Amino acid sequence: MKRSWLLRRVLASLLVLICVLVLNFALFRVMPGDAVSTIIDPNFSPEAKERLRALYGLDRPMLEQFFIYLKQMLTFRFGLSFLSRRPVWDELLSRLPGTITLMSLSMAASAALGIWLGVKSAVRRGSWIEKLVLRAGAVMSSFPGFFVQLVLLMLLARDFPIFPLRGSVSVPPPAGGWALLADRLWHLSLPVLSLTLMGFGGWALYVRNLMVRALGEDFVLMARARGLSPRSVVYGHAFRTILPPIVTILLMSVPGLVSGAVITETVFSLRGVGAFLLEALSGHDYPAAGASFYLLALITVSCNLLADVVYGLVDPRVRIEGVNR
Amino acid sequence: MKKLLCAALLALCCSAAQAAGIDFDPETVSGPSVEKICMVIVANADSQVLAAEKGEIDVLSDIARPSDINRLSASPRLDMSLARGFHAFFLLMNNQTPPWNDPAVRRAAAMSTDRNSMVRNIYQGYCEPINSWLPPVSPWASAEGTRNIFDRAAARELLLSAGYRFNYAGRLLMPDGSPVPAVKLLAPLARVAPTTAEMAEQIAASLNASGFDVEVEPMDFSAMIARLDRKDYSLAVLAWSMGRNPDSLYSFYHSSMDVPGGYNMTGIHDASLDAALERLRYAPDKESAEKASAEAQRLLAELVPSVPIYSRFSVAAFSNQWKNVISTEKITADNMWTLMRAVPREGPMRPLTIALAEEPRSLNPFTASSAYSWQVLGQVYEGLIGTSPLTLEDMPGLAESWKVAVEGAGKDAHTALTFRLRPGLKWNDGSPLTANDLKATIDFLKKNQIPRFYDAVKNVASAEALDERELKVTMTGVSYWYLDNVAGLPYMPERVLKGISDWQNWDPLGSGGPSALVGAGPFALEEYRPGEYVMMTRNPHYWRLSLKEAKAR
Repeated sequence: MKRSWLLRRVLASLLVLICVLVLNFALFRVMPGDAVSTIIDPNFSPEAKERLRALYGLDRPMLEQFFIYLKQMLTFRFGLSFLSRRPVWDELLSRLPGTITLMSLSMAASAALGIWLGVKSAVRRGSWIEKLVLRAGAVMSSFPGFFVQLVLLMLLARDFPIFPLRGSVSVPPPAGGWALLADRLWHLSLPVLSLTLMGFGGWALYVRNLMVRALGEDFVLMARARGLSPRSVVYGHAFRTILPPIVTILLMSVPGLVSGAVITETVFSLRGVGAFLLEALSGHDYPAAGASFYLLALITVSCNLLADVVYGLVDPRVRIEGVNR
Repeated sequence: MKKLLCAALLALCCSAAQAAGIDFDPETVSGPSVEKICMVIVANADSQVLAAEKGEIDVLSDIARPSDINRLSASPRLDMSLARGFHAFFLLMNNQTPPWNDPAVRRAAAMSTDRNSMVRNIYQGYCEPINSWLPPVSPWASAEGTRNIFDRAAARELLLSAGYRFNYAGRLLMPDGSPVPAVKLLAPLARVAPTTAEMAEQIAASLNASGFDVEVEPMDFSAMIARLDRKDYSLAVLAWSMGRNPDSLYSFYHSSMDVPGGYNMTGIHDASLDAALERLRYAPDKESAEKASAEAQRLLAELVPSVPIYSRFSVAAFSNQWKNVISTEKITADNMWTLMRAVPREGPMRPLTIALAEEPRSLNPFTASSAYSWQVLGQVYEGLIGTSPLTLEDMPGLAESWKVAVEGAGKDAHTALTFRLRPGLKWNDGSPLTANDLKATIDFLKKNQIPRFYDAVKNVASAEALDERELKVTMTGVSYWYLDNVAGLPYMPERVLKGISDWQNWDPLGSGGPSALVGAGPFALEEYRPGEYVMMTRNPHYWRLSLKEAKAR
C-alpha cells in the first residue's frame, strides 16, 4: 500500500473532522432558542433566566464560546451537561457499554442471519427459500422500527409474557454475578430480537444480489468444472469475492450503532447513548449534543478510513485507482 | 355516545373522589403507610400503558392521550382518577399589531372560538373548555372561568358596532374599508404535537368562519418561542402550567414583563391592568390579594389579551390492588396523601411502583430542573407550608403556624414572615431540625444566587432564628406571595450546607451515597440505579408518623 495514498486518506479525514467541528458549533447556535429561552415558568423571571444563561456560559461572546468548545472537543473534556451538571464524558461513558452491547449483538445477529439467508437464496434461486427470504426481507425492512418493537412488546411481553417490558435489569436486580448476567441477557433478548428482525432483510437482499452475480461468473463455472464440492464453490470461491463490499457495509454500519439506538432505547426504556442524544437535542444541551455528534463524526470518519484501508488490502484495484488519480 | 361515556367517567371519578374524602382530614392524617416507593423509569408512553396493564407498575401519572385513558379505563387491574389540572392552553394575539391591537377585535375572536366542540372533537372530553386566565381549579379563579362565550352572531355584532364591516364574501374589513390583513397562526409541528397542531387548525377555521383570514404556520417549538419573544407574530397557540396562586398573571400580562425573555408575549400594555396586577403582586395580605386578583381577572376578561381555550384534566391510573387511595376533584390518586394511607388490598406491605417517564438526570436540588428530578426530590424535601388536597389552600407543613405581617411604614414598609415549627422535628438522618437550619438554607440560597431559587430569595433582607422553633424572615418590600416563596424552599441541615463548597457540581450521590440527600420529607433516597429505577424508603423520623403514635395512645 502506497504511503502517499494513505496520507491523502488521513488528511481528507482530518479535513472532514474540522468541518464537522465548526458545523457542530455553528448549527446549534444558529438553531432558534437555547436551553434557557424555552423555559416558560412564571416563577422563573427574566433576571433568573439571565443568571442561568451565565451559569451555562451562554452570555459569553460567540468567539470565546467557540474557543472553549474547540478546546473541550480536542482534549476530550466536554464540559458539564446543562441538564445534569455532570461531566458529559462521564455521562457518555456510563451509557456506552449498554448501547454497544445492544447494537453490536443486534448487528452481529442480523448480519449473520442475513448473510446466511442471502447466500442460501442465491444458491437456490427460484426455490421457496428464495421467495420467502425476498418477501420477508422486504416486509421486515419496510416496517417502521417503533411499530415492530411495540407489536413485539405487546405480544411477547404483555400477552405472552416471555420477555420483560422494560429496562436492562429486573427491579430489584437478582443477587449474584451469574444470576445478574442471565437477567441482563433476558432483558436484552427482545430488543436484540426486534433489531435482528428489522435488520436481517437488508443484509439478505444485498448478499443475495451480490451472490447471484458472483455465481454467474466464469471462475465459478471453472471451479464447478474442476469438480469442486458445491460448498467449496459457494463459500470458497463465490462468497470470497463478495467479502470486500460486505466488510465495507459492516464498517459503515458502525456509526449507526449509536444513532440507530435512539428509537430502540426509548421503546424498551434502555439507558444508552441514543436516548442521551435525543434528550440533549430536545433540551438544547449544547455540551452533551456537541460531544455526541463529535464522537459520532469521529467514529464515522474512522470507520470510513478503516473501510478504505481494508478495501485496499483485500482489493488491490482500489489502491491502483487511488494512485492513478 | 363518546360524549356520554366521557361525562359518565368524569362524574364517576369525581364522585369516587368525594366518597374517598369523607373520612379524610389532611391536618391529622398520619403516615406514610407505604414503606417503600419504587420509581421505575419507563420512557415510552406506549410501554408505560403496557406496564400498567400488565401490573408491573401500580401508578401511572399524567396520562394525556385520550386513547390511553380509554384503554386503561377498560383494564380490570386499574382504577382511574381524574382531576382538574393547572395546565392552560391559550390563543395568543400580538396586541401590538393590527387587527389585534383593538380590544373589540380580540373579544370578537374570543367569542368566535368554539372551545366546546374543539375539546370534544380532539380530546374526547378529557379537557375542560375555559374562559379564564387562571385554571378553574385554582381557588383564585373567577367563577366565570368555565362560561361558554361562543356566540358567532354576537361577535359579528360587536365588530360591526366597533366600525368594522364585512365584504360580499363575508371577509372582515377594517373601519377604513381596507381588508383585515391575512395572518399566520404559529403552531408546533404536527409530528411533534399532533393534538396542538389540530387544535390550531380548528381555531383558524373558527376565526375564518367569523370573517378573519387566518392560516396555520407550523414550526419548530424553539423557533416559535423565539418569534413570540421578539413579538414577530400575529397569532400563536401555546400551553403552560400555572400554579394555584394568581400572581403568575403579573408575569404574563404586566407591561414590565414585555422584555426579552419575559412572559408578556401578547405585548399588552394597559395602565389599569398594570395597576391591578401591581396591587396583586404587592398585596400585603390575603384579603387585598383576593380583591386585586378579582379586579385583574375582570380587566383581563374585558381586554382579552389572549384567548383561553382549554385546561387539560390530570388523569392517573392506580392499581386496584391497593386500598385507601385518596383522590379529590383537585388532585389525582398519585399524591402524597395516598402514600400516607395506602396499603395493599391483600397480603403484606410491598413497594409501591410508580412509573417515571424520564430519568432524573440530576438529583442536586440546586441545579435539578426537570419535573422528573423533582418527582424524586419532592419526596425528600418538605416545605414549611403544605397545600390542602381538598381546597388547595395553605395548610400547616413543617410549620404548625405562621404569620404574615407588614412592618414599618411608607418606603420602609416590608413584609415579615414568622414561622413556628412543629415540636420534635427531625431530618431523615435522625438529627434535630431547628430554625437555624432553615436560616442556613435561606442564607445559602441567597448568597450563591442560585438561578432556580433566585426569585424566591432575592427579596429576603434577613433570616433570623428567634429560638429553636421560630424563624423570622424579613423581606424588602411588601408582598403576600413572599410567604409561598420562602415556605416552598428545599430546606436542608446546616451541617450539610457547610460541607458544600461548589453547589453547581455538588453530587449528593457521589459524595456520600444517597444519605447525603438529607431532608424532612416523607421518604429518603435508598438507591438510584441510573436508567432503571429510584428506590425510596420511608423516612422513619417523618413528623406525620408521630401523629399516628399520638392517635394510637
